[in-house]
Amino acid sequence: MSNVTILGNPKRRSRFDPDLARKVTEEYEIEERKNLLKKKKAPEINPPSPQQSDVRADIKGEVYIRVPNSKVVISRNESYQGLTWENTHYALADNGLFMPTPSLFMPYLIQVRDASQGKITLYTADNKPVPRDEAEDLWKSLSSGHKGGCWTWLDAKFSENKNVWKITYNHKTVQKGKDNSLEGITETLEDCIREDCFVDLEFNKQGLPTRRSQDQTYTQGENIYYWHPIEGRVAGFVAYSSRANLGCDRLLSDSSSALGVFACAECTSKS
Amino acid sequence: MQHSMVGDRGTGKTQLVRDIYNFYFRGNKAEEGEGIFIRAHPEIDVYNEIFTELDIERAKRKLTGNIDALIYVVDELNRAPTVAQNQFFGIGDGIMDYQGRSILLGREGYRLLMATANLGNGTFQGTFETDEALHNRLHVTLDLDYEMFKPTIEDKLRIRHRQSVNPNVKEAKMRDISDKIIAASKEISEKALDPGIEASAVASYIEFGLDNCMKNQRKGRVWPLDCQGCPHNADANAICSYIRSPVERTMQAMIKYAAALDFLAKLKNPDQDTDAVELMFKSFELTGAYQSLLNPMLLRQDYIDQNPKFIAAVVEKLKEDFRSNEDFILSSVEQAKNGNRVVTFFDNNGVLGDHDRLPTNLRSKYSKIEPYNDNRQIGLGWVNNYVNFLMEMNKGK
Repeated sequence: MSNVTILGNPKRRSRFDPDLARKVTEEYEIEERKNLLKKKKAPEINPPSPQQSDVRADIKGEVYIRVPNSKVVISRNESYQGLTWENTHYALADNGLFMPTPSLFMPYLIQVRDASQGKITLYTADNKPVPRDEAEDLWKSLSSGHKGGCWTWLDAKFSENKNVWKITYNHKTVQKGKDNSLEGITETLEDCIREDCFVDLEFNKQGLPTRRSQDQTYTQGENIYYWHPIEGRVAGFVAYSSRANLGCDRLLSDSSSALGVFACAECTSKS
Repeated sequence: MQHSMVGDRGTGKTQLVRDIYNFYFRGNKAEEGEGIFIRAHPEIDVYNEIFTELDIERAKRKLTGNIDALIYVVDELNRAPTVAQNQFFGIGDGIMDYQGRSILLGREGYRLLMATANLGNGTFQGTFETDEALHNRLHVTLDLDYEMFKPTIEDKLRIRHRQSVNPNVKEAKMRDISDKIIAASKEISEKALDPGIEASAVASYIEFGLDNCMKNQRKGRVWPLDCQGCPHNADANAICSYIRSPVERTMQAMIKYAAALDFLAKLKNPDQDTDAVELMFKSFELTGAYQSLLNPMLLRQDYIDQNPKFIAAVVEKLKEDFRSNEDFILSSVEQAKNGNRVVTFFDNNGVLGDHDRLPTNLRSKYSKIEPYNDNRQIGLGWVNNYVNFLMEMNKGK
C-alpha cells in the first residue's frame, strides 16, 4: 500500500509488540536457566592433555566429542559464559578454539539424539566410545532442562539488503591496528522456514530448518522451536524444561552468566 | 457525492447551493456555465424539460447538451410529489435512460447533485415526503437548522449589515473552477479506493459491528422492534438499539467523504495532521444521519426528529468503543497483512503480545485476551473473518 492513498497521517503508536512473546519467553528461559545453573556443578575447565594425536595438546580428550563426518571436536560442556557474541568469538580465538555454526551444531544435535538411542556411537577426542548413558545424559541436556539444559551461541549472523537475505559464518578474528574485528564467509540464505514455529529436525546446508512441524507442540527428539532470522541478529541455541529453541533472532549484545558456548577445535585428520 | 440541504424556510439552503452553483461552476449551462438549476414543482418532467428536446424536422425527441452539466441543483425537491421525485434517481446515480441506452451524466465521471428540501415534518403545506431510496442517493444531508450548520450570531449580524446596505440577495461572483474540482474529485476517489488500515478498520467496524444483535445474531427486519424487552437492553440504553448498519452505497459515500475531508484539510494546510479514525467517524456522522439508520422511535421520543443531534451522540459512543479496541483491531489487521494471524493477546506491563505465540508453559501465566466476539453490543466477531480474508489475500501475493 503506498502512502499516497492512505487516509490521514498514520502515526499511531501501537501498544502491540509482535516480538513480545519471544521476549517474555527469553526472559523466562534466562531466569529458569539461572535457577537451574545454581543447582548445577560448574563446568569443568579443560586442562591441557599432551596425549592427543590429531587434536591440539590443550584439548582434554574425554571432554571433547568428535562431531561425526567432520574434522571438528566439540566440548560436552559450555564455557566462556557471560560474554557477548563478538567477545565470545574473540575469547575462543585467543585459545585457538571457535564457535560452532548452525551447520555443524544442528546435525551434531541429531547425532547426539541418535547416540542416545543406540543408533550410532559417538567418540571422544581421544577416540574412546562415548557410553550410551553418557550420550543420553548429553542429549537430555541439549533437549530439555536436564542438568540446567543449555544456552549457547552459534556462529551465524543474518543480514538483509533489498530483500536478499545473507548468512555470515566461520567468523575469524582479524586484527586491524590495535582493534580486532570479525570477518566471515557470507552467502545467500538457502531456502529455510521463515516464520516462528516448531520445526522438524531437518536442516539445510546452512543448518537452518526446512520443514515446519505438523504438530505445533514440542516433542523431544522430533522437533524444536525456531525463531526465524532477523536482520542484524545472530544465532543461538537453548534447551530448557519445556522445549529446545534454535533462535536466529538473538541480539549480539546479549550476555548472561548462563549464556556460553560449546567450544570447538579442529582435528588434524578426519575421525 | 450528492448533497441535500434541509431546514426551515429562510435558513439559507437555496442561497448556499446557488453560491456553489455560481462561484464554482459559473451558473447555468445556457450562459457558459456548467450547471442546471431545476426548481421542483408538482408537474415536473425532468426527461422532457431538461434532458431532451423536440427535433421538429425528425419529429422526435433528441438529447440536449444538459447531459454533460457538472452540477444539477434541484431546489425545493419535496415540492414535487414523491412519485415525481423518482425522476431524480437517475441524476443521483449519474445515469439517464434514453432510447434503451444508459447515458452517463456529467463529465470525466464527475457530476454533483445538490437538492434543497424542507424537512417534511408536516409543518409546511404543499410539500411531500422524500423517498428513502432517493435519500440514500443524497449522500450528505446538511440540516441547516442544526446547531453545527446554522449561521452563528456573527454570521447573522454580517448578513443583516449587508442587507442594510443592499436589501437584495447578494449573488456570488460567477467563476468556473470545474477543472480543478474534477481533478480533486479524481484524487479523492483514488484515495477512497485504498484508504489505509485505520480507515478500513473503522469502515468494517461500522458495517459489520453495527449489524450485530446479541439476541438474534443479525439485526434484520425485527430491529428495532425486538429491542424492546431485549434482555441485553434492559436499561433501554444499549447502543445496538440506537443504530443499524448502513447499506453499501452509504458505506462507499462515507469512505469517499472521509477522503474528501482529508483532502480539504491538506488543501488548506499541507502540514495539517489528520486522524483517519476521526475522519471516518465524522464522515459517518455526516453521511449517515438521514439514511434511516437511527432507531425511529428514539429519534422521535428523545431527539424530537433531530437526526444530526442523535447521530452525533451515537457516533461519539461508537468512537469511544472503537478506540478502546483500536490497539487490538489495528494490530491484528497489520499483522494479517504481513501474513501473521494474531487474534488473541496478552498484556505485559501495558504492552500487548500475541498469546498464541507463547510457549505452552507460559500461557497460563498471562491472561488470554480474546477481543473478537459478538457477545457485545457492537460486534467484533468480524475481525476474525477480516484477518482470515487478509491472510488469504496475502497468500495470493
